[in-house]
Amino acid sequence: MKERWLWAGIIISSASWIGNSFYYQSKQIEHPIFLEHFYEASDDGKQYLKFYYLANRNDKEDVQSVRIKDAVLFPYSRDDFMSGENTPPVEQVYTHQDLKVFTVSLEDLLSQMNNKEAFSFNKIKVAMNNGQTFTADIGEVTINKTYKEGKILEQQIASSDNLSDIAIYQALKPITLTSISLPFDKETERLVSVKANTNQKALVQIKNNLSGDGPSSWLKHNEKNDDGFQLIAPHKKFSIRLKKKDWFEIVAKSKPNTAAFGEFSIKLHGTSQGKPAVSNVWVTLKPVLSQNDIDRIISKNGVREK
Amino acid sequence: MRESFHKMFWGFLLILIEIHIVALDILPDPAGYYLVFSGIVMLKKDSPAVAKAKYLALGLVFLSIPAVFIQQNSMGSTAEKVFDLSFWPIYTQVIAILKLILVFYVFNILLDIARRKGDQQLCASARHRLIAYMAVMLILNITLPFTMNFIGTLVTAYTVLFLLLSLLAEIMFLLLLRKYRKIFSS
Repeated sequence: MKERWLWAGIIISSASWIGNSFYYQSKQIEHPIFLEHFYEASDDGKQYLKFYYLANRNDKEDVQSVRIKDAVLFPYSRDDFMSGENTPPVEQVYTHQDLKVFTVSLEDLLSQMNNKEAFSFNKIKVAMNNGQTFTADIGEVTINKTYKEGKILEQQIASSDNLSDIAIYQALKPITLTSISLPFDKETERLVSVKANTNQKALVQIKNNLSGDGPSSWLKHNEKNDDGFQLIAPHKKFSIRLKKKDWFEIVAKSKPNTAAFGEFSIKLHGTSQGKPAVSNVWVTLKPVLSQNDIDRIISKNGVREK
Repeated sequence: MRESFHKMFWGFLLILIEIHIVALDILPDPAGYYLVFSGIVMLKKDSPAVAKAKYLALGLVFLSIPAVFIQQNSMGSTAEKVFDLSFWPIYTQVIAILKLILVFYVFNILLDIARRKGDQQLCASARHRLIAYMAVMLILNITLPFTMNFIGTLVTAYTVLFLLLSLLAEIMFLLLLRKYRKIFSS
């Protein structure tokens, strides 16, 4: 083997190393990027708020704590025997970044709040374990006062996956539904589309099948009978009359290309026996993000300055 | 000459094997390069490869001192955690390339010795191992940096395969040194 082959190989490998290193550096983010979240929670403190963020895979620094109004919170973990020692776990791996989740115990948050009234926030102050701090936009979180609603629709079956929430209700009283509203103004309207189904025959069949084959069978059934659904949009009046014991199905689907996480309720407005009535339908959004989604989020939020 | 190959064999084995206890390599690379250096010094000095290999091995005795404290096979990430120095991966890469050049010269010394002895079989064996070693190491050095920017099971499988191949190439090189030691002990 001639020596010049060795030198040629070394030159190419150096070029490969330098080129890849520069490309790698150009893809690093300056500090963790928090994604958008739209969470509603009640002040009974039973919930956990999961804040998702992107962090460079090989960074030694990680999020240590977050400050939400008066409260300083460390990542919550189920096996939390040493508070503050936890590091947020990785949910998903991407080319240069990891998607991690910082879980906040609502109980912990509420116990540190001076003002116990309902509140909302859209920014958190993040402290890294190297002492660096920054403010992150996290979408919007509202903590509501717990209240008991007069039950008119009783949930019988519910199923959710990353892209949709399906629930079947039975009316406890006669009700006429006339509109829906979504929280966080227009923000959540761009995230989900809502459909309703009142095809009693199909819904009774689903209910009957459920005892036999389990939830997966009625989900498939659902897709087949999609023409029984009507799209219901916020701010648009409609009229769905339900007699007592009538069945009512509602499907909330993530719109394509949405990268926000959500846990909130859609409000169904109507009248029951002459009185205004409101029913809540709980929606959970947990998008599965592609590398393209991640690239888009990063290009919107900026990469590390050299 | 037997003693010379004996030293080189142990020298390169010491460089190959890294056993880290806390942050220290208990089989330090500088000791390995020193053994290689002293092995080369014992050879006749009439080949240009001997002179080049000798100085390179001597240089590496000193240059590899920081490597005692880092794990080179972790691509510098451990080092970054311990030392917080961003030039560490560059250092590891430079050492790897210098070692590759040293092995190339040692192979050439071995080829030269086989040719002088007129042992065609030994010469062919050394030549094949030289080509295989250089091909694996150069392809690995050229392609491994791409793993910084690509992920996936295929990339992992490729990396594992080539790391195993490189280990095989190192073992073949060590066995060749042992073979020389055996041949020249008589």
